[in-house]
Amino acid sequence: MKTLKGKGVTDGKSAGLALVTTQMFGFFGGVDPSTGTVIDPRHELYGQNIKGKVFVFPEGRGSTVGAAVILELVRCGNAPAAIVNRKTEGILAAGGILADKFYNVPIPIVDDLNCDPITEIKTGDWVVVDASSGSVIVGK
Amino acid sequence: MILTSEEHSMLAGNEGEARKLAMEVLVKVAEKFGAKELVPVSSAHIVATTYKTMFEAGVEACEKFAALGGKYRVPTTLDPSGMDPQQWRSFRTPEPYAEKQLRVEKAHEKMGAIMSWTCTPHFMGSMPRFGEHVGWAESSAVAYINSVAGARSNRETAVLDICIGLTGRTVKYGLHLTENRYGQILVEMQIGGRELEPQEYPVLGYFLGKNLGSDIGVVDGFVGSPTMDQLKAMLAAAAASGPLALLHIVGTTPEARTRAQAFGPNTPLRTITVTEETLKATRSEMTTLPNAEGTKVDLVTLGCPHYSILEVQNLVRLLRGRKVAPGTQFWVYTTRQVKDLAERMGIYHELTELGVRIASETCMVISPVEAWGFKTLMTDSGKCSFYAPMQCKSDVIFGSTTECVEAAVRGRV
Repeated sequence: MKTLKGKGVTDGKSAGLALVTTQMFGFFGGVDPSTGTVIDPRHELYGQNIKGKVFVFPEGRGSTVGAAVILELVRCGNAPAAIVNRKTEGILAAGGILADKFYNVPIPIVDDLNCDPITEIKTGDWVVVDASSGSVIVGK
Repeated sequence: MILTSEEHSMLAGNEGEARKLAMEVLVKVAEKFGAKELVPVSSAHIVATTYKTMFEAGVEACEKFAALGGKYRVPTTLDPSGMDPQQWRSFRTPEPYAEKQLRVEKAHEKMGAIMSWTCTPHFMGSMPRFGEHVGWAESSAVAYINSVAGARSNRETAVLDICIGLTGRTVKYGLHLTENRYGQILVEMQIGGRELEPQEYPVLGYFLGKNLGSDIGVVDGFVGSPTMDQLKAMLAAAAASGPLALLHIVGTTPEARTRAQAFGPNTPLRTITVTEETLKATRSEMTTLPNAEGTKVDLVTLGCPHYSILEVQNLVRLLRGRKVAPGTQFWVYTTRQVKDLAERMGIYHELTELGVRIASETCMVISPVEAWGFKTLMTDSGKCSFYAPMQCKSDVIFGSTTECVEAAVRGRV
């Protein structure tokens, strides 16, 4: 078990199995919010499901409607348990904050860690994300 | 965080519940980004406009702000709608979808939005000037106004954009601050000193979006003088394949008269070289079929971002004297204004006769095109080629406008 220290982008604490990608991820066109399945055929996670996972990706990309997709994921109960990024961009951060405001469901998001989360966390690891303190605990 | 008395007043609910909620969200986002203050914006541009991209949750959010009595505080334009308001039935828009879309439109109308329904609001009267702070959420427009006009906007996102329009404020971080606008990565053009072909602009954009990430690139070695439409196509592709919001193009971007000015106090973190091979490899990546030659094309679609009148004129010139093949649809997306202009100029009628349909105030990415079940579509847009596989549920072939027209006439690539 190891603890990574970063910065909380939103509030809340959650845990789940990690799903890690080395590629950037955009929620619009990236995921079907009615299922949580990755629908971008050019993404290495194509066909996998982000629901309930601790979703680890370097940074967001693409369309600015991403926050609405995050809201819909939350509304449908298909949001990831938590998100860990190298760097969280504004779209994702706002999505997380809006989800808390509109549906009272915080998605803990942590970024800016003291190490690279993409290499430190492996898909399938059990990960606890505490966005209030910015800590990410990685078990096996 | 330091708020002005006006901002405190909004937060306290003195300007109504909608602005109070909007202010709460903005302050929360500001705190998370370590921003010390908000910045007044002279306009907002909203992407929370289509049912297809924001689903039920987005419809609910728009209606919530409208029901709370929200009124936009600054001029607020709207991104394209999820359907052509006049032709949605003949474009096979499902009724339940149309009902949701009309709810979104009604909410924005109630809040006093400018009914622009375009991804290019800057080309219809709201181009910000150099240094002007705005809160825009259309990724391609943000990339354009930062990189070409030297205005200042971050890539705002859906629903947060409503908060910005309602308060006339956004979070003061990122590209609103001079120190964050300098270049970080050098992009060297090494294509033998030639000018880019028109279709290579979106290809270059697609490559840069993917490879720059959120770092700010400085493109040096551009030959020739790109048109507004070429820059529009390039930056739209870059802002789709990556999080790009500002690209310094030496000699074009107001903040990049020279390479040195673009980098300011920064030393380039690394250099990306663009060669003939880069453009070729990227172009093949923009097509989902490995061997497109001879493939039947079900839909040829242009106008992402919305076609300008110049682009519509060019299309007429390329197609004149021939006809779109039976069995192939040809759709062009543009603004209501350009469509009206095309009607006045007789082009609309001419294109209709040639087999082209012009749709306005929407586009192929954000309207329910998948209802047609097209297997393969072809486009001259880098942005569309990025989104079509997911949003239109079809294979996509990227080509120049000329190649798109040739494919439409033959019915195959």
